[in-house]
Amino acid sequence: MVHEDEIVQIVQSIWMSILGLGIVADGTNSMQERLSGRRTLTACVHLTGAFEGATLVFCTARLARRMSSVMFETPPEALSVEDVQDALGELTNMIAGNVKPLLEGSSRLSLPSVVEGLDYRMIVPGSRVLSQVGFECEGEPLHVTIVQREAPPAPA
Amino acid sequence: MKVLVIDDSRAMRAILSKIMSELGFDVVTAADGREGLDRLGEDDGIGLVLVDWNLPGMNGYELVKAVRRDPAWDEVRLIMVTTETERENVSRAMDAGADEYVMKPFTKDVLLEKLVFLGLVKES
Repeated sequence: MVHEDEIVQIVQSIWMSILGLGIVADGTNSMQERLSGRRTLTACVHLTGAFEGATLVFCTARLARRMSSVMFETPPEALSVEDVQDALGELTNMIAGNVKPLLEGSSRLSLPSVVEGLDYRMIVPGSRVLSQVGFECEGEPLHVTIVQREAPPAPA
Repeated sequence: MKVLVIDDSRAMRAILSKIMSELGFDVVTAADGREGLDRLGEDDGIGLVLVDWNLPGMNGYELVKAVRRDPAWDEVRLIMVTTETERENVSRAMDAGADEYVMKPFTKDVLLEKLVFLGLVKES
């Protein structure tokens, strides 16, 4: 189990040291409601080994572009789609890397993958939500979710 | 001194390049371990490598081992800048020949502290 306050601490530490932006947990878990109808990015870093699962970050395209702008020190409108996806992938990679020591046993991180669109669902098949925290940054919603793959049923 | 920054993330390369430029280094970059080794082979002015662990193809740990196998690069300093936080892997990297280890997220001050410790930047 990864406690929500541990996720909050990790995310706030990354946002402060890498972005210099404040981010607060707002106690909201209704991710679908907050992101519905808005262009959204989702970044995913899988963990394999003793722990099987993934770290997912969901946020609005507007916030992703704002954060990327800080990382690249470039005006938001000058960034490419690839720049924005790369930046969110790296932030997710840092979250996953710092969540990893909180999990039992030794696991490896995948390279990040990022999807972008409107009103889609991101699913890691066969997994359940272990922890989920809603945040607000620059007035925009962001969600961090840790999922764990369910163990396959024992052979009969 | 010239520094080679190896990270698959363009955003992280931009952040590290800016910090190292501000500290007076000339910066070259690579997106994976293989490209990093090629850069190192082409440019004998590189005295420091900042390398991520989790890279496509040849990862940072493999790059450290490859650099330390070649006596031509004995003087090159290697700092791993990575999200790989497991104590066992930190030990493996140091045993393989990394000079220092910086965990992401990092601040400019943390990186500066390591560079001062290695004698690559004078303490101000």
